[in-house]
Amino acid sequence: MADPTDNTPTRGLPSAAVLAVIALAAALACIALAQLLNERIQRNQLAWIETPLLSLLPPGFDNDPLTDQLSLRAEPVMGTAQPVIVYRARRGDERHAIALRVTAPDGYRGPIELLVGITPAGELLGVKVLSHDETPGLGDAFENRSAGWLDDFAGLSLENPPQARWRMRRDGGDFDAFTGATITPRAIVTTVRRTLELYRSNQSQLWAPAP
Amino acid sequence: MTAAHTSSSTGNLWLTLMLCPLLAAGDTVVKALAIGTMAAVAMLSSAALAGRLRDKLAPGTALACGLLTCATLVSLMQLLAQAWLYELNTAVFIFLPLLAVNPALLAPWLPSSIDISLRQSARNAAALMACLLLLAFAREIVGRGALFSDATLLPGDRALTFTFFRLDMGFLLALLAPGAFISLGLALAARNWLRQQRATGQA
Repeated sequence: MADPTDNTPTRGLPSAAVLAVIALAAALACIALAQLLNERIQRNQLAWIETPLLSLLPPGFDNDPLTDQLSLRAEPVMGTAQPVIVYRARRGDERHAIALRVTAPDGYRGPIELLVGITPAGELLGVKVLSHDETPGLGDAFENRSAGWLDDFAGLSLENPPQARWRMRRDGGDFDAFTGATITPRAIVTTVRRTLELYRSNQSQLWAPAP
Repeated sequence: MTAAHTSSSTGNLWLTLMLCPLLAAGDTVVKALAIGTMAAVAMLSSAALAGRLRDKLAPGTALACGLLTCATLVSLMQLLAQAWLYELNTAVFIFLPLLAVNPALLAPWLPSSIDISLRQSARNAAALMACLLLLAFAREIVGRGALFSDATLLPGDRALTFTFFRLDMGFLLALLAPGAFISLGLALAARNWLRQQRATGQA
């Protein structure tokens, strides 16, 4: 049995050259495949966001919100450097509805990605969880056990309840946690409030035509 | 490992170590199948490539080349999965990079003939898959009261789910990573007990 740490160049080809050739071939293979599949992968990502997006936006728009999008960084408001991706639904020149893909940085086991639908007047259309890493059975209760919890966001705004009451009940606010988890619902409520604040103070920027 | 016959105990140790990170991903049968298949592909192709390189290179260089090719293979698989198995990819294949190193580290302990080394790798992969599946069956039934509960991750529209009993929250311990090690421990205990029974039977 050869000792794998034995590095004496007794046999065959020069090591450095072989290693360099293999590294080059590996890099080229990765680049080529990535280029080849790029379009398909992007289409998958679009399809993945399309279902929750279309279920949030009320019908009646005549543009394609998937492509009428922009991305911006709003670290001071959102509390994370993750960019916010904005999907706009318009009817002609009129504002119809907007959906913001935002990240709650302070989930229990990692960031939680949300899609927040907002009317032009700043009222919530709904909130969807796009991806999360919360503990199965506890922090992910919004997926099954407390499946209605997310639905309660629809119709709320920064006036209803007042901005100061946008926190968990145990923190003196209006929102109930779900059994088994405190940190996850708090992260979601905080991020939804931040998204509403972002919308209120940046409306013209968020509705600006796609670059 | 129940059915692994690696050429040395060191190789066996690596195989067991390789199982560990995969256990976290394999809490359901569908996920265990997916990650097990990917592991098998990575092990077989890295054995085929490493076997070819090893005779022509100094062992240290061969190991480096093995690591490089293995990491490349895993990257390529990840790209393919993003293109054709998108749902499964978001659920399971975030664990794929864990496969990038282990097959290459196993390679030096494989026999030098490519034929035998491929057969050996196939056996290792089968053992790994059997172990992952056994534990996933146990964890999914105990933890979720169902089998194939996440079959929607697979492409196509099939209702494969068998529900045995309804669980409100699921039995969390079985689903989380510690449950994997507890069930692995139980499986090993059962194997040892069976062996002991057989040994005393023969005596």
